[in-house]
Amino acid sequence: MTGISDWLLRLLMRAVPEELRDSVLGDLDEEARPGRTQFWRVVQIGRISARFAGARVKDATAGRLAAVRMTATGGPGRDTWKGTGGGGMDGFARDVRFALRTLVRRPAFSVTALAILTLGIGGNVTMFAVVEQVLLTPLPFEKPHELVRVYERRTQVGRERNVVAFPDLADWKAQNEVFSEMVGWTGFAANLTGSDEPVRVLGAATTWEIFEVIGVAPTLGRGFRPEDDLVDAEPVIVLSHALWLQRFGADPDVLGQSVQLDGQSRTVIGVAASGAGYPAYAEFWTPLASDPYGYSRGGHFMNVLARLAEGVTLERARADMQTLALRLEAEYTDTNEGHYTSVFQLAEVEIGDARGRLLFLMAAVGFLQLIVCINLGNMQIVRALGRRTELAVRTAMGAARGRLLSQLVTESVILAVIGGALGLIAGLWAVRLVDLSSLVEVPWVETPTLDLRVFGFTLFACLGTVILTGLLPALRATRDEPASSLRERGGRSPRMSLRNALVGSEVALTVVLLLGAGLTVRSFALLSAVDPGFEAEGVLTADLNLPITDFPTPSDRGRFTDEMLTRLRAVPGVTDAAVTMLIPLAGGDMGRFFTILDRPSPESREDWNARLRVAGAGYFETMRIPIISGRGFTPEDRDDALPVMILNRTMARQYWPDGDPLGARITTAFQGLDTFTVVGVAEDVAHSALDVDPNPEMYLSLSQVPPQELSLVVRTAGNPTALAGAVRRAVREVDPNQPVANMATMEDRVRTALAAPRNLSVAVAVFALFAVLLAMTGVYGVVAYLVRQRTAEIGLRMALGASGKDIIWLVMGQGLAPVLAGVAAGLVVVAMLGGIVNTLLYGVTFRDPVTYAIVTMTLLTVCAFAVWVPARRAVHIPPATALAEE
Amino acid sequence: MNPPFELAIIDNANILSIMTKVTLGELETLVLLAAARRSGDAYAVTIREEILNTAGRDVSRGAVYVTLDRLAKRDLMESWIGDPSPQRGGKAKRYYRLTAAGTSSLGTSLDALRRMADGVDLVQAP
Repeated sequence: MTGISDWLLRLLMRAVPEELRDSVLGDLDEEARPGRTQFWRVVQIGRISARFAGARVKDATAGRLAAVRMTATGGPGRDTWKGTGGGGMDGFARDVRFALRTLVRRPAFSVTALAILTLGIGGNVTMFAVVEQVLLTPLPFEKPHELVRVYERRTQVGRERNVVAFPDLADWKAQNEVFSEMVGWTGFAANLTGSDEPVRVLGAATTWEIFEVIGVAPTLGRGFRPEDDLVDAEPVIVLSHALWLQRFGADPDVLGQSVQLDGQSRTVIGVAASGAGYPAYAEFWTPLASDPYGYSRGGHFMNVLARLAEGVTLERARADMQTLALRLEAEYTDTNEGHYTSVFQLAEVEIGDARGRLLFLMAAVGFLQLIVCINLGNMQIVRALGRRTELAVRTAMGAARGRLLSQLVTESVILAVIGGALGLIAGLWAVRLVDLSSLVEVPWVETPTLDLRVFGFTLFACLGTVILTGLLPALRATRDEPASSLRERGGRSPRMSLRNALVGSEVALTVVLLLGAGLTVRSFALLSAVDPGFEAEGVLTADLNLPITDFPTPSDRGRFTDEMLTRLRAVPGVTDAAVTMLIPLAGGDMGRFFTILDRPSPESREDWNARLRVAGAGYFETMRIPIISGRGFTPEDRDDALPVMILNRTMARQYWPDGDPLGARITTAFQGLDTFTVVGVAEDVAHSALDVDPNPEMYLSLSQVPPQELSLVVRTAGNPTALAGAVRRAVREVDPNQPVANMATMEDRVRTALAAPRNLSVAVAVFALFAVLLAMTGVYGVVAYLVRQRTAEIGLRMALGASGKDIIWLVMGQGLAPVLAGVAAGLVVVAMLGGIVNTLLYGVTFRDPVTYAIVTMTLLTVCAFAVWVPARRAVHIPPATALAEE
Repeated sequence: MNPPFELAIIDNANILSIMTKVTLGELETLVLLAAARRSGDAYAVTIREEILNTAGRDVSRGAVYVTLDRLAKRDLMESWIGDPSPQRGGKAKRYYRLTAAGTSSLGTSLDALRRMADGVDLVQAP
C-alpha cells in the first residue's frame, strides 16, 4: 500500500490543519515499528482527526446555543420542519444536521441499519478485493495478454492440454506465422548441494528464450543466450529471486559462482526478477541444452509458452496452429496421428477453476447486499409510515416535495456513507483473514490490498444502497395526498403491497443463496465421502531425488532405497514403509502406450494408453490399497527376476471385461524393459483428484525400473508427524547429501485436495446464514407492523366471536403469502439459471430435488416462526384494549 | 547547553499583567513544560514521550497535536519546520518552542500552583 493509501490517509486528515498534516504523517512514520501496520496508522490518523474535529466543534459551540436548545426540546428547527428553505449547500448542511439528529434519536434503528450495512458492504469489499487481485490484476509479465500456452490436443482420448514432443515444438517454432516468440521447458526436481544443508529444489530445463518470451529480464546478470542452449555448452543456471534470498542471502556476488545441482557444477549467470518468473514454481532455470534430433516424436514432455505476434488474434493463432498440426500429422503419420493443437490465454490457464469459484462467491455477496438493501428499505418504509402524519402536516404547511424528498434521502446517504466507511474498514480487516491459497491456487497473487479500484467499488456499492434503500421509500412516502394521509388512521395501508413485494424478493434472493449453499455443502459432503482407495490415516510421505551423478546405475539407486527402507522399518512405531514414484493427490502423472501380446493391435494407438505408476515392494500394504486378485510387489521382484506388472481395477475391467488379466503379457517400453507379466490387480486409487473417474493404470516394480525421483510412504500406528525426525535421520544415515523434501501426511494431502470445495461451501453457507437471518427479521417486521395496524380490526373480530386460532390463521395466511411467492420465485430462478454453477458441483446437479426440498422446508419453517410470533401476540391483546385503539 | 527551565527570566512585574489574560489548562501546562524540558528537540513525538516518562501520563497523540495547535494560535508557542529525514518517510518535523508570552504564562501558572500547594499536607492518612 503506497500511493493510494497515502491519498486515503490525507483524505482522513481533512480535520487536521493543513500545515500540520505532513509533520503528523512523519511523526507516525517515525513511531512505526514492527507490529504497527498500515492499519495502525489509519486508526491513529482517525483518532487525531477526531480530536481536531472535536476541538473545532467545542470552539464553535458558543455560537450554536440555539441549535442545542432545539435538540433539547426534541423538535427540529422551524425551517427544517417546514422545509420551505432553499436548496444549495446551506439546505444540504441543514438536511445533514437534521438527519444526524433523527438517526441519533433512534439508536435501535441506526445501529441495526449500520450493522447490516457494514456486514453487506464489508463482505462485498472483501470479495471484490480478492476478485480484483486474482481476476483483474494482470500477470506480472510484459504485455501479458499476448502470452499464450500452446498444447497438444488429442481428440480421441479427450485430452485438451497434453505436453508436446520436442521435435514437434521445433517444427512449430520454425513453421508458425502467428507467434513472435516461443519457448519450451520441462519441470524437474534436483538436489542443490554445497556449503549449506542439501535441499531439493524445483526448476525448469528450458530452451533459451524463456526470459525473452515473458519480457521480464533477470534483475541480476542475464538470461540465456542461444549458445547456452547447445549440447556442449558450459553448464549455467539462473536462480529465482526467492532461492537467491534464501540460499545465497541476496549476495550480489553470486554471479559467476558455481553451484552443485544434482552433483553437476553450474555457473550462476543471473537472478530472475522478484515475483515474475515463469513457470511460477521454478526455483531455478537451466538450459535444456538439447540436441533437437536427440528426441523422438513419441516422447512428450515439453510445456510451451508463446507470445502472439503483433495484431494476431487468439482465433487466428488457433486456426494457424491447427493447419500446422495437420501438416505434421500427414508428414509423420506414425507418431502424430490425432495430435492437434490447442492455444489458451496464459491467464486462463493459470487462474483455471478459481475464476468460477470467485465469481460464484462474488455473486453470493452481491445477493447478500441486495438482501441487506431490501431489508433496510423495508425498515425505512416502516419509519416513513411512522412519520406519515408529520410529513403530511409539513406538506400541508407548504413544504415542497423536493425538500422532503431530499431530507429523507439524506438520511440514507448518511447511513450508506457511514456503513460504507465501516464496511471498508471491516473489509480491510477481513481481507487479511482470507486464506487465498485455499480458494485459488494462483501463483503471483499476493494478499489483496485496498486500492483505488476497491475504493471505487465501495463508493459504487454505497450509491446503489442509497438508491435502493432511500430513494424508493422516500418517493413512496412523499407521494401521498396529505388529506388522505391525515384522514387515514389504521386500516389497511396502501404501502402494504410494496412491502409485500419487497419481502417476497428478499425471500426469493435468500432462496437462491440458500440453494447455492445447500448445493455446495452437499457437493462437498459427497466429495469428502469419496473413498480414495487408500487409507490416509497414519501415513507420512516425503519426496527424494536420486541424481544420476550420485547414483549412476539402477542398482545404485536400488541399494540406496533398500538400505533406507531397512533403517526406516527399524524405527520404533513404524509398521510399514515403501517407496513409489508418484504419491496419490500430490500432482504429477505419466501416460504410456501399450499393447497386449497375442491380441490384435487396436484400431488407433490412442485407445491403448494407460497411466504408468512405479511402486516398490510393500507399497500396496503400506497404503492399504486392496489387492483384488493375484499379488502385490514383493522384494523378489528384482532386476534379475521376471518383469512384472500390476493393473488397477479400471484397467483390468476395461481390457479384460470377461476374463482374467493374470498371466497376460503387456508391452510398453520403460527404462530398457519392454514386456511385463501381469501378476495382480489392485483397487482403483484417486490419483489426480477426488472428483475424477479413475484412469486405467499399470504399476511396474520399482526394483526393476528404479526412477530418479521417488517418494517415500511410511505407516505408523501413532501420529505420523512424530516420525519426521526419524525419517530425516534414516535418509541422512544412508547418504548425508540426500535432502528430504515435501514432508506431509497423507491425511494432509487429502485435506488439501478438499480445501477449495470446503472453503467455498463454508463461505457460501455463512452468507446464506446471514441471508436467512435478514429474511427472518424482514418477514417479522412486516407482520408485526401488519398486526399493529390491524389491532382494532382483530379486536373487533374477536369480540364478535372469532377464536384465537382463526386470528392466528388469518395473520399467518397474510404474512406467509409473500414468503410462499418468494420461495417459489427463488426455486424457479435457480432451476432455470443454476446451470452456471454446475461445474463447481460434484455428485449433485443444480436441480437436485433433495436440496430443493431441504431449503424450502428450512426457509418456510423459519419464516412461519417469524410470522407466528406477532400473530400470537395479536391474539393476546384484550379485545377492550384493541377496540380502544379505534 | 540549554537550562532545563527557562523560568529564571520571569520577573514579578510581568505576572500580574498576564494573569488577567491567560489561564492554562492542565494539559497545556504539561505540554509547555515538556517543550521546555526538551528545548531544541521539542516536537509532537518527544513532547508526548516526555509527558509519559516524566509525568507518567499517557496522553493521546491527537490531544498533543490539538494542544500544540491551540497554544500556537494563542501565541504561547511558536513552531518551525525542521529538515526531512528518510526515517520519517521524507517528511519534516515541526519543532515547537515557548514564546516569551508562553514562558511567562507558564511561570504564572506554576507560581499559582506553588502558592496554592504551600502548607497543604498531602500525606494521606493510613
